[in-house]
Amino acid sequence: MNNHLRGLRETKGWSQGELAERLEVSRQTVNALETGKYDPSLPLAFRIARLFGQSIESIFIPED
Amino acid sequence: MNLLTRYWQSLSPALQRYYFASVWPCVAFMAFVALHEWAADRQPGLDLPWRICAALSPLLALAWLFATYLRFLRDCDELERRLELGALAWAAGIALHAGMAAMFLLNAGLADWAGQRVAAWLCMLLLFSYALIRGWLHRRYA
Repeated sequence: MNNHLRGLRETKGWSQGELAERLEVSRQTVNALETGKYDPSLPLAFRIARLFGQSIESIFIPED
Repeated sequence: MNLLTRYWQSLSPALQRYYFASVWPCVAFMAFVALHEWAADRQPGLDLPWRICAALSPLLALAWLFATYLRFLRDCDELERRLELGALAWAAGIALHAGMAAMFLLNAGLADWAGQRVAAWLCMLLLFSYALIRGWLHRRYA
């Protein structure tokens, strides 16, 4: 699954570490999410959407 | 030193807490192993209950370490938990297959290994396969 996480984070001027702190996950998790190596669980996807004030489907894009 | 600092900073808070929390159980494990060895050398002079306590004492520290690991599994985030559980599953599978292979070879009379040695090798295999697979999974998602 692709996503706009990196762009959203950079718009806010946050480092991966800062975003990880806000989401209460490790920096490795943020990096894996941004590079599309890992798809988040539904609760984490909701936390991300809430943090950036957007809907889940506007941040995460299915590949098909 | 710089490399160590960077490695430490790259760890998640849950993993840092786990490393801190596991120091004392590891120290206790080494102390209990020393007690175990000391008692093993003086077996005729000790009563049976004391011999059993000294023989099994390292398990106390191991249980303490396992409790800190379970706390880490509870506290870590979803990707970390996925990596840990993946590594544990692979390591358990490898150790199970090796254990069964050793058992069948011994049973068929094709091998002549001491039980103590087989158990020690299985423990080492479990630990090393866990560490290797955990490292590989970490790199895959890094």
